[in-house]
Amino acid sequence: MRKILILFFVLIIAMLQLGIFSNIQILAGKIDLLMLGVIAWIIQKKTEFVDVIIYSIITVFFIYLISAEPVIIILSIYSILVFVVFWSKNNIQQLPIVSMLIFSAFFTFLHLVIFGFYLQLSGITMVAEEVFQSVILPSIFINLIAAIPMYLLVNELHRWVYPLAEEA
Amino acid sequence: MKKFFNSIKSFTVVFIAVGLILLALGGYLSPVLVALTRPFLGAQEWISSRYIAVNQLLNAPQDVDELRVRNIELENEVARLQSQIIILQEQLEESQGLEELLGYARTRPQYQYAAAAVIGKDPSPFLHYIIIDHGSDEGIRRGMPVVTQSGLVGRVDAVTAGAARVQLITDPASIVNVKLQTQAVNAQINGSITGEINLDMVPQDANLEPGEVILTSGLGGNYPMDIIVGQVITVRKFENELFQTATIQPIIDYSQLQAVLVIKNFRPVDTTPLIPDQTE
Repeated sequence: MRKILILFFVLIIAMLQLGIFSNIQILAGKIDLLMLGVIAWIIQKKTEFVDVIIYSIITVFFIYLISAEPVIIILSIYSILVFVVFWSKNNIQQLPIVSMLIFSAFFTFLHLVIFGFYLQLSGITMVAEEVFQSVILPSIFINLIAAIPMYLLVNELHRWVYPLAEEA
Repeated sequence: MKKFFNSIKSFTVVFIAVGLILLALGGYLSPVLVALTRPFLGAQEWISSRYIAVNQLLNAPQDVDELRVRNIELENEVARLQSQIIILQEQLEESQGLEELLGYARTRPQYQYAAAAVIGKDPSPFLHYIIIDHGSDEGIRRGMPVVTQSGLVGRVDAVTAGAARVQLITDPASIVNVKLQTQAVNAQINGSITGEINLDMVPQDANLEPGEVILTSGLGGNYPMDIIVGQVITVRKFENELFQTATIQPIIDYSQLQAVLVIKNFRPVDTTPLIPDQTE
C-alpha cells in the first residue's frame, strides 16, 4: 500500500512538473519539484531507506521518461543526493526544514553545474557567467521558494502514509 | 279595506324600487351611493391592509427561506453557466488554433501533417524541449520536422507509443541550416540556454540588416526548405572575424505553444556516413 502511494505521489508530482511548473521560470531558472520531493521524503523522521530507494528510482525513471537529460547524470545526482541526505538525517539533522532549504539549494547547484559541464563537454558553447546568472542562481532561488511548501506537503503525506503502514 | 291598503303598500314599494333602479341606471344616484359606500370602503381597506400585514408577518420567514434557497440555486446555475462559457471559450480558442494549422497545411499540400497538442515541457532549465500527445501509434518518427502555421518549431527527438519529445530550435544543441529571404546566402542558426536564437556563418560580404527574414534552406536534409524561422534583430559584424552573426527574433512564442503540426512524410537524411572520420 505504502509503495503504491509513493508511486502515485511521484506520478502526480511528475505530471505537475511537466505540465505546470516547467512553464514557471525566473529568467531561465526552473523549479525542480521532483528533486525537492525526494529531499523532502528523505528528511522525514520515520522514512526507511528501502522506501527512499524506491522513491528515488521511481523519480529517476520519470525524469528519464520526460526529460532529454542524459540518464547517467540524473542517476549520479540522485545517488549522491540520496546517500548524502540520508546520512545527514541520521547524523547531523536537527531541524528538517533547515535541512530541506540547505539541500535544495546545494543539490540544485550541484545538478546544474554538473549538467552544465556535461553540455560544455558535448560542444555546446556557454558563458559561465551567463549560465550562473540566468540559470543557476534563479533556479536556486525558485527552488528555495518551493522547498517549504513541498516539505509541508510531504510531511502531511508522510503522516498519512506511515500510520497506514503500521496498521497494515 | 285591509286588502286594498296592502295592495297600495305593495304597489308603492314596487314603484319606489323600480324608480330607484331606473334612477341608478340613469346615473342619478351615483353621488348618493358614493357618499353611502365611502365609510364602508375605508373600513374594508383598513381591515384588508391589516390582514395582509399580519399574513406577511406570519408567512414572511418561509418566503425568505424559499428565496434564499432559490438564490443559492440561481447562483449555482450562474456558476455552472460561467464555467460552461469558459470551457466553450477555450474550445473556441483551440478550434481557432487548429483552423489556422489547417489553413497552413492546405497551403503546403505536398506534406502530410499530424496535428498534436503540447502537453508538457522539459523540466531541465538548460534544455528546450516540449512533449506532444502523438507518438509512434500515430506514425510519428524520430527526426520529423515540427511546425506551426507561423513557422518552424523544431524536430522530433524521441518517440514513445503515445507521446513524443520535440527539440525546439531554441535548444542549445539545436542547429538548423537557413538562408536569407532576399539574398542567396546560406547560414545556420543555433539555440542557446536562455532561449535566444543566433544566426551564424553569414559571410562578411552579405548585406545582413535588421528585419531580414530567415527561412530554412533544406541543406543537410534535416528540415524541409522555405519554412519561416524568424527575423534578424541585431547584427554583429567585426572585420577581424570570418563571419557575421546576428540575433534572431523567432516567429513563434515558444512559451505559448499549444498545438503543433508534425510533417509525417518528410524523412530526414542521415548524412553521418558521408562525413569523413577525423580520427583516421
